[in-house]
Amino acid sequence: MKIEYPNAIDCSLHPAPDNIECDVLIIGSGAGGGIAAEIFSRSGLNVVILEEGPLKKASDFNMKEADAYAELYQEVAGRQTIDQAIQILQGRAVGGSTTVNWTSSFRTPAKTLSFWQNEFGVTELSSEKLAPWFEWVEKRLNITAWLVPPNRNNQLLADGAESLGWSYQVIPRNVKGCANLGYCGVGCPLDAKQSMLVTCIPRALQSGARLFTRARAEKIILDNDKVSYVEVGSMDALGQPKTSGSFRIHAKHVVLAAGAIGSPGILLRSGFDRFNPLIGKRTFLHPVTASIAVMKQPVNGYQGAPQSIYSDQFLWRDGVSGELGYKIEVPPIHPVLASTLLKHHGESHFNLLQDFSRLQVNLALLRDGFNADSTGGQVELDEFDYPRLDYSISESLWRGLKHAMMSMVEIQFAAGAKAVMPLHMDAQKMSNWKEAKKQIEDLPTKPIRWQIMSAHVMGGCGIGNQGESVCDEFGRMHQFDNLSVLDGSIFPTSLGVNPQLSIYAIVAKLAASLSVRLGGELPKDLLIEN
Amino acid sequence: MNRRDFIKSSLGGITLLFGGVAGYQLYLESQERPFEKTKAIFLTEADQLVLSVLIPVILNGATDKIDLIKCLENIDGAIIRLPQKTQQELRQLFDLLGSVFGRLVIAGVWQNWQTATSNSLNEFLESWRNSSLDLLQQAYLGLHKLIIGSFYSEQSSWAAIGYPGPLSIQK
Repeated sequence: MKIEYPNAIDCSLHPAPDNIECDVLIIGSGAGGGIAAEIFSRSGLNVVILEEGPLKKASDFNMKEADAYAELYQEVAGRQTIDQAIQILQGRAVGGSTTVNWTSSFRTPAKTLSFWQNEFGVTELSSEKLAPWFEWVEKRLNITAWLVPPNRNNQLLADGAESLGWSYQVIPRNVKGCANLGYCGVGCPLDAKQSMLVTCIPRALQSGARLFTRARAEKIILDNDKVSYVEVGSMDALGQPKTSGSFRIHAKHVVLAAGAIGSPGILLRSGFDRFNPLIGKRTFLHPVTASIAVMKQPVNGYQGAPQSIYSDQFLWRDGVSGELGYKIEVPPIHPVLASTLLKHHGESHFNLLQDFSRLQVNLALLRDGFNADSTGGQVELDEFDYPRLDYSISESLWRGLKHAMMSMVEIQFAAGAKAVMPLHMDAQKMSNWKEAKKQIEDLPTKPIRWQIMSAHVMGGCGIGNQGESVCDEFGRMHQFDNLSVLDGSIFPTSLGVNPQLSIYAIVAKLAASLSVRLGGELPKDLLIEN
Repeated sequence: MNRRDFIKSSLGGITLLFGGVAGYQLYLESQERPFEKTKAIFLTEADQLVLSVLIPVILNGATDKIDLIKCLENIDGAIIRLPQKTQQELRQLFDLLGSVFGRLVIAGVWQNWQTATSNSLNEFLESWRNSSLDLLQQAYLGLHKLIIGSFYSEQSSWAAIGYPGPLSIQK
């Protein structure tokens, strides 16, 4: 069935519209903006959605990495922290990162939510209060455990964990009619992934919401302590700001949902740091480290659901706020991503890639923000007013990265790997666990050399008590009655799980209560006791 | 100003002093051999010359027939989608490589780019890769990502590593 997108205007092709009025302006169409758009528009509110990326649909998705990175990702999939030590994968298209994520759907761990309650005074987002919202989202996006057998890449993670006696489980996924292709990261060509692109955004548009793509919120303009309007700039087809084509949107309420680099970025561009110096601070990643194994048999890690098995053996290895814990998963293995991550050239590069079809890769995502030494990074603006993340790697993060590398490599040898190489510029392939362990102990803990990635950015507009945070626990910015943040940037720490389902459920709960406050009438399925 | 900013700004200054028009003139005089180039938006002819020399070294072993034009087009297509600040940094890097000073002193390549042996080019790349200066490591990684990415984007490079490409989907 073809999905319709009525009321969508591409600002790269069209002249700027006249100034616009609406009840709610939502800046961003990803996990937070998508859910909020459906809830507000189905409550009868007049909604406008802005997206700085393009509207690309299943018919545009050709399963080629280069095209997807250029069209669907921030900075051609090469976004980095300022010191270039961490590569950040983030979506930049209608649906945001949900259009290109690997479909893993976990509820927020109860330990994380209790930590928020105890440390930041967030009582609204307890496991009990969120439970019905998780249920609503899981039904809405068809989130269920993936019962199809895992691909080899994932199966080998299970095999290794099994033989070491470590725990592992099956990952729930947001798919409907999934053909197990393995190309979630470059846009699902079958509309099987239940991303915001195929669910909440079209639903909101059918309920009358308007969507402007290639449109970037430049500045929030205040009139005393209320938002008066938002200044919007048009982008060209390459994603660069156009010199003409700016317009204004007057909204009764403005919702920031531009992601944890974008949302603080807009506030900084608007000079809001003069009201609250915490904007953009405590921005968290799940820093990811990876290890590459060469197996005896083909793995074909480009084929099949990219993530279906995980291990939480070490997620809480030292309690909640002790040594950083980590979740172990695998990434899909496609040629551009794999070849550019192998930081060699010439024959040594090609020799590593000779084993492409027999590569098995483990990754560990570390739980950031739970101890005193782990305070995340800071969003700043460059001289073009473009947001970037300054993030330095703490001592406890280095210890966590090393511990995680040990575990991942041990799993790979336990699963029968012929050789294993940590993803580190100074690492060599090792053929047994004893040698590998020695190598990992000696690996320099230096930024850039130790290759770190992240696909999960959170925080920067954290919720909590006034004076210690940016937003209250309803997502409203302290001091501003008609300005809210509804995306992952309100999280006061990272999560310890892939974030999409946490963003969906938390935003659903907060958007429903905001909708009522703005005079909306919630549809039946959303009349959930808070 | 911290050490990195200092190095950055001094590299930028060096580029301004020795690069730019003067460097371009000098290299034009010293270059003889014609090379394949394409109509690009970001990449100048001088940039394309340096890339046309570095691409075969970085991809050595991967193929005996590199489609240089395709690589250059892909690199240009990626750069013009990057944020303005990143484009500015890449501009500095290419200007430096295109300048005589950059080639001689920073990269340590004593012949002109086209007559440099693959050994000396390899040495230059290795020294940047393993430099104690973050800036040179970053420059290596920037060139690496652009060149390797531009090559493995193409279907023609997949068979050699055993990647069959995506299944064709009936829509």
